[in-house]
Amino acid sequence: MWEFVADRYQQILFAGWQHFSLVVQCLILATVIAVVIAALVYRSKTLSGLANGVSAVGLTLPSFALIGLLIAPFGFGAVPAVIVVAFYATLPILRNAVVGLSGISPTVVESARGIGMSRLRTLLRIELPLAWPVILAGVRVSAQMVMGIAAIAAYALGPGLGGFIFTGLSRLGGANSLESVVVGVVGVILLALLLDLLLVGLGRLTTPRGIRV
Amino acid sequence: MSETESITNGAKTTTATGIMLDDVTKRFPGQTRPAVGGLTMEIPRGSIVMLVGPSGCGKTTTLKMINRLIEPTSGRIILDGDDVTGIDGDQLRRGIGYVIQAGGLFPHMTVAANIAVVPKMLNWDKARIQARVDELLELVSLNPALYRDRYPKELSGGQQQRVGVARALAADPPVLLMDEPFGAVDPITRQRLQDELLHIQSELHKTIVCVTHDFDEAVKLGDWIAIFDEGAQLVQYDSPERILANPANEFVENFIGSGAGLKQLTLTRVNEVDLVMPVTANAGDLASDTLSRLQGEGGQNAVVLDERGRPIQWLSRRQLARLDRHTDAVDPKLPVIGNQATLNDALDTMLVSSTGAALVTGPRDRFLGMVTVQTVMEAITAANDAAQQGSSSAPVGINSGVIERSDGASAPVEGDAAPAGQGTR
Repeated sequence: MWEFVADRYQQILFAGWQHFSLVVQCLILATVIAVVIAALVYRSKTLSGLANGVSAVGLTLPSFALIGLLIAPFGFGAVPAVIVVAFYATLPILRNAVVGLSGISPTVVESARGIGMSRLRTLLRIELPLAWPVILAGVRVSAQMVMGIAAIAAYALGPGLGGFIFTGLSRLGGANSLESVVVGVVGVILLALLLDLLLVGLGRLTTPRGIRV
Repeated sequence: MSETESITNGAKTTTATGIMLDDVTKRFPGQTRPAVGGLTMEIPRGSIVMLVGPSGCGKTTTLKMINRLIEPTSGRIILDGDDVTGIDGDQLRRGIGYVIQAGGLFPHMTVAANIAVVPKMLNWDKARIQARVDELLELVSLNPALYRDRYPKELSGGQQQRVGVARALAADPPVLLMDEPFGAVDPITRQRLQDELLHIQSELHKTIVCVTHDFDEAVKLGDWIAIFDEGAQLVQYDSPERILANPANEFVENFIGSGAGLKQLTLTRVNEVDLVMPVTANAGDLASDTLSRLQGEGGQNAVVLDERGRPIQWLSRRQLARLDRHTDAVDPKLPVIGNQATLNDALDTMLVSSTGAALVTGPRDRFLGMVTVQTVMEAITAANDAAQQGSSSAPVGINSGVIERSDGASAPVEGDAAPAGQGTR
């Protein structure tokens, strides 16, 4: 086991970094998409319900199947991996963003409008900062979830630690196959923990003292 | 209330009109009745106008149409002579102070940041904003050094409300709109905040429109009171004195509730009534002299003053007869009130004192005279008479297109004898 790691530590680190980088970039992309969609729908009950429905149904889609479907139009490589990871990352964030934005006290919004803030300014200065802790909670859930999905995305030859798992599994029983799987799985778990810690830190830094619980 | 008289006399010329609602109607989609029906209302500059009425009567809708948080379906809104019905709503609102229940502070911003929101939107420079924040915190009796960097959740309800007022005043708007501002605080804090608002108003002379469902609050704060019925039908729009003395109809009577006479007492101050001068004596005088003077005038009690003219004892004939000379001992239970107190306070003091009178002191606690139950009764009668007979200088307030009320009676459309000349009474 140690030999396996020692021999390939550079390769492992590189794959780990790629995995991490894929997840983080997709999370950022997903957060932007989710917040924009939430901002568009949260004031309509029907649209909010629709967004919640889509996010619930979307999460039941097997990621493996979705990757398979995407290989046909996009081929192998990073593109289908990014699409799948970003798609799954968007769903929990969207749900939380809608909940967070519609949970803001109407009196706060009214007083913002009443003192002359435009709709957009109210959204950017008042509503998003107030909904931010809830949105960030969604980001954390997403981060944990897509760490695993990013590993599956390696099936489409996307980057990351998933490669170790798949090569290991495909020749199970062969030399170093178990080691390969273990390195992949443990690596994913470590990265997930690391990312969660970073997100907790981000939450500390970006939540104003006035709304900290 | 000579001050309000002079203001409203000026208000008849359009230049002094703070706000004018011109035939304003608001229909919400899906409702047959308009929330506000053809309301024309003048709000004189520099005065406090209280909008009162039962819940759902359209008073809040009326208020929010002034800063166009709610867009009127038809009609015009004129602010300081300018038609603002068509201008950009956000720009308009930056020039109008707005206070809502519990302050409506932004919980993620400090007190200073909350107050600075409007000046920032108006692109003031940093130093000016900072100075203004401190000035406003002083104005609303909060120590800037202590409260500037606090968050709303670290303030009490009353303090939040104060910050809300400070934020509304930040860019020094000529008009202040308040939507049930003191609804969420306890009665003692509410009274203090009301006093402070009056104090601030005496310094700043803003045009204030304030919605409340509490008639006592309206009487206390308002220069003018507009009483609304369903559909924002103006039932009566007049001074508190005249509404109390002369309610337009049963609806207003019911709304005033019981004790209109008692409420009137809060409108008159002790220094506005004639005081009775009792027999006085100085500490050290012979008690027998005082007694004989008392018998000569037919009085029952004599007031003893100290060397600086402050009342220290209030003696009956029997007590005088037992005394040799007046001592300078101070009776701590004397029923004393200041001449700034309201007749309501005076009556309260009298009832507690059981003598049926209260001693009135002026500056430096000098004795000025005595107010008796009779004085109070006369003051009520005089106020009633004045309100019944005196010509009203109430601002214009009518509804066009009278709407049938649910009880079938057509709604009275204006305060009586209002200058629009459509008196219905």
